[in-house]
Amino acid sequence: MDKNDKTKDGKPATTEAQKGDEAQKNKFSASAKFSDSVVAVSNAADAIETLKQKVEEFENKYKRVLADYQNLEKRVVVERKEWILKSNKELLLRLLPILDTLILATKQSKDEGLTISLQQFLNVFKQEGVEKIETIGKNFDPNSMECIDTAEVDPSTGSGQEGKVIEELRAGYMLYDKVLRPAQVAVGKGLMSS
Amino acid sequence: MGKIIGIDLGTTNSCVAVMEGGSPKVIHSAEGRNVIPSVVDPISHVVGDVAKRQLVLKPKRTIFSIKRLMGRKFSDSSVQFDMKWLPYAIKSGRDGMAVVEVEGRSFTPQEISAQILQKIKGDAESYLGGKVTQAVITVPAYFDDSQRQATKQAGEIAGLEVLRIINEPTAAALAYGLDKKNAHTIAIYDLGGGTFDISILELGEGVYEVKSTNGDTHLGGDDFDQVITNYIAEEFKKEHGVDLRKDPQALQRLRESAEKAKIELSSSQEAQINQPFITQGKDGPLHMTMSLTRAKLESLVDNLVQKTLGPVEQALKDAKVKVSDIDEVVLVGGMTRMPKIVELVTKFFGKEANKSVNPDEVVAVGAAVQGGVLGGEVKDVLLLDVTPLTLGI
Repeated sequence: MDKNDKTKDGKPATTEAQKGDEAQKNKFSASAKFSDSVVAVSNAADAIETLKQKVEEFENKYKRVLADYQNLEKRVVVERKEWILKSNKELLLRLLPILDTLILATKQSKDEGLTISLQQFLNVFKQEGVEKIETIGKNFDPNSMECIDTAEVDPSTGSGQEGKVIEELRAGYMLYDKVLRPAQVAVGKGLMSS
Repeated sequence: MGKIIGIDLGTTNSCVAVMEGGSPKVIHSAEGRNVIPSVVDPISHVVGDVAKRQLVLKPKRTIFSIKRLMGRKFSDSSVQFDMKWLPYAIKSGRDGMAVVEVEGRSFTPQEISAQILQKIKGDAESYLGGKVTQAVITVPAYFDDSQRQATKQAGEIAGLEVLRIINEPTAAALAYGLDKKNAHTIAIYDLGGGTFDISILELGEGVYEVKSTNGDTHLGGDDFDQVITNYIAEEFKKEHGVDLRKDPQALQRLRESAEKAKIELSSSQEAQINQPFITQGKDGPLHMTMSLTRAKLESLVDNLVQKTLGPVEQALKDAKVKVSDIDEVVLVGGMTRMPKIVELVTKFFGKEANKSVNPDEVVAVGAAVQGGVLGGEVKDVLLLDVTPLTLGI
């Protein structure tokens, strides 16, 4: 049988000894393959682990960037609205000291021309969304006013004046719904409270 | 996934920043400013600019400079010193710790600071559009364990989990990424609103170590403003015979002019000071018009500027390093915008200082970077910050 087989395909016959060698070889290579594959599996496991970590890391990064981006989008909408309303803010702030001087001047002189000039100035401001903050006689409100002086009021005679604005030293202004510059005021202070 | 904010809880002003899109951003307050005055009315829970506006009216319930009392005993010599000039009442509280008393109620410095942190938390939440629960807070390098603990407690009262307390000079170094520049020995020169600090850091094996720290707890921008205000008032008195400092309203305008001139002179050589109708003279209203040159300003504040050198020399000595050993110099605090200060520091260390990051924001920026590291948003930055116990003063 063996011989037939060998002669049939015309290939050199494989002896038993050779077969044994082969088997031995295969055995060795199998065990080598096995350890290789163990290494390969553990390598693959490592690789999967690394990839998993990478995926997680990138997922986190992606989520963060997405959140930052969505926030930015929302903020841009809000800020654009504010820009349109408040693009003049810096310029207005620089012009306020001149307005202050005009107001001080009208306190010194009752010149009609000066009063009209001041009114003109205020009208332009009003058109730009600037409104004067009312102070005199109002309760002191640190949100829109800054107290730079106090005037002592005697609770017996000046009742009701405590904590109220007695004098406006520098006008304050709102730009739409926000404080452009707080008013500087003198506030009544009871003799007892200090 | 909440954001970790970085907070510079300062003596005069506080600042907050956060990592966004991979880089630090300073969060502006609801009032639209990059810093929040560290001023609190603990009764009406008013904080920052708004609280500052009522300081003159309610000096006994408007608390500022609370950092000076953080984690300190009432008997502490520095508390005893500060009591003399702070207008509000300071008492001895539990365990002999310094507390403030407002309208019969006691508040610990932690509780006062917590109100500042709450305001910061709120501003950050409205900017980020979500809850903020974690923070990194900075403290001066010389803060001892009790002061650091108190700062942490303040954060907790404000509803913030304080992931880490880091040293202000370390934060400043982080903001400049000096850990990546292989800088070994770093000097941080910090001249703020009310305090001056100099720290020598050493970087090795991923650890920042504060080798020494020195300074002057009562030297800062406010002193510079005072000198300029006095000069202008004296000049006006010479000319018109009226002392503007006796009139609170004129004094207010004078102070504003002084500060404005100081800021202007950091970028120009001459500043105009114009205050029409500043006061009433015998013959009608008086106007102030004068100009101040940078050279004049520099001569006026020269001794204040020179005063910072003593502590710098002492810090180098304590760190056992020579001037030539310093690899990098970092400028922190608004006053370091003054060209004279930059010149002094450059001359002393013989090298250009790092000053590209806004000096009012640099500490908060560094704290945000540290927050980014803890949150996994920033990689390749070292994590440790060590203060030798011997530094606790």
